[in-house]
Amino acid sequence: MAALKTRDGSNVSLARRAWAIRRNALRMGEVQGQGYIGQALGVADVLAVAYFHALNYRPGEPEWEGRDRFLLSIGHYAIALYAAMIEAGILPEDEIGTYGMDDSRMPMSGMAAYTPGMEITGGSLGQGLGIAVGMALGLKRKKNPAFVYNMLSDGELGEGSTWEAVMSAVQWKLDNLIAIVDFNDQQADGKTTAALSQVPEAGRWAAFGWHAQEVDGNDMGAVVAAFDTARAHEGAQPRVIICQTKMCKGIPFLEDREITHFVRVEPEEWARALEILDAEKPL
Amino acid sequence: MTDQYLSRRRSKYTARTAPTGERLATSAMIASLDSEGRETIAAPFGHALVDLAKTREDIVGLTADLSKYTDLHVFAKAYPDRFYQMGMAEAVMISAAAGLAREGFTPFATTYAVFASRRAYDFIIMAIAEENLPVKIVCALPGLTTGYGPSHQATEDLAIMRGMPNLTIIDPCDAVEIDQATRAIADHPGPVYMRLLRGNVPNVLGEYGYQFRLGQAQMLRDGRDVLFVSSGFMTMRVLDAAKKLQGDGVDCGVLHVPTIKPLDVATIVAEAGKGGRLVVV
Repeated sequence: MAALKTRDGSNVSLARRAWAIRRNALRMGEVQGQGYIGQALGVADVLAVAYFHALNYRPGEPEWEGRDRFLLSIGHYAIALYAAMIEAGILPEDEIGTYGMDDSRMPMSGMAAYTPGMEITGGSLGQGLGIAVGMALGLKRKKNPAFVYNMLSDGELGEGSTWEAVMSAVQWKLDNLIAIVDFNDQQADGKTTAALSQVPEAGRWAAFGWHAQEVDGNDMGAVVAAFDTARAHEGAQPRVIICQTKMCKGIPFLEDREITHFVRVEPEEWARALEILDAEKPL
Repeated sequence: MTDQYLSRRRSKYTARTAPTGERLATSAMIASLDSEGRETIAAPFGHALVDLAKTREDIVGLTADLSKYTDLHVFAKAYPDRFYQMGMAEAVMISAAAGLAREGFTPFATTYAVFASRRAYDFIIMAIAEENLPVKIVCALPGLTTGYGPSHQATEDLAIMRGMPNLTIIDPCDAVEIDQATRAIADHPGPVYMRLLRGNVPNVLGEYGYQFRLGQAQMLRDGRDVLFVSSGFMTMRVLDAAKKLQGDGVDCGVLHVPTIKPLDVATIVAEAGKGGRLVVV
């Protein structure tokens, strides 16, 4: 499994990184009784690949000019990104207990002004990909070879402005732009596939001119291969990886909950979830 | 159809006849702000931006299919590789301007005032104003400067934009002020919304030795009887009115307030407190 080796040559496996991201997220979730834990658990494998296989960055220098930019459109996924950035050493682990509190550097919705490593302010869905277009144009102007990643949700694809950005990225041949869609088929009112999505999702991106891949976002090997392909692709076009993920992945009793966009977790269940996770700690 | 509001307008089912004699034409996209015989200056915004760009490599231009109608085509011609035609897509134009600003550039993004303020509001407030990024949003067709009706007439853009944090709002009067204000907002570190007159724009303030200063209201003429307080191209009208009233023996002062936000309350209050009648235009 050489492909699963982390970018920095560390022997910590990506599976272990994903486990740690899930664990950090559960600990933050417990602080606020926060319900977006379902998304964090679902996308942990993708974030492990992003932060420990694909992205170039310096943990102690979050504004380093050579870094790959990782833009989180979906502000409510902040809990997942904090969890990943803590594991990456960008944010300190001992601030987990401040999550969502007044004066915390980790507010409930991701905002650039509050958090090192948080490139944009998300939350108003449909803005991230457009900002990514501008940053990708800016990097090209500066002849900076860094990539811009934008993590979107499947529900966010209902926003028309996302499609303005989809078209624009093709028009400007942004081969330094990689969109990552977390497709968990859940939005606030129910299934995304019952609203404005398309199955398979990759088809319409390809039709617009993107290099499109659709993978099982909880299959580490598949996600690694997709990131590698997206970076190495030689076409003068933007790239998208549609990641099919399972909400609450890794905690079976939560996976089984019917409504998972905002998961109801009883106070005593956080400890149970952590126990389940700890029992399956990967090497 | 007895509703009072609707009754202001003649029924669309009532036949009309073409007028005889002098015809009152309405301009479409080109603001007809001229008083007869007044000197005009061509595309003051476009030329000022080109001039600035000579030494400011961080300046880039974006438009949503309205470069010709915002004078940004002058910049596009001079610096084609620093110009981004974003298509008829205001959301991505504004978002991309935010992204370019994050990468260290100073983007000037142009469209009509109605489209920026109404359609792109959420993108401006979230991606630019809240983030205090140095994006300059420069928008044509302020107020009633087009005959195209409410789709193009920005009668509420200033009210809409005033709610935004960190945003500076400029409503310039004429070509002289557009030239000066363009240079001033390029130096201002935060986000700016500026209303724009384009094409052949009258030179009104030249004779007053005017110099735009961001954030400051300025007396253009003193008068004992009446004080006019105005912004934007309405200051042209007010200056004309003041001259006419002078002939009738009414001595009128004019306080021009080109910076709408932050508003120069101190100067307005001080001038208004000097006595006489107050007219706010």
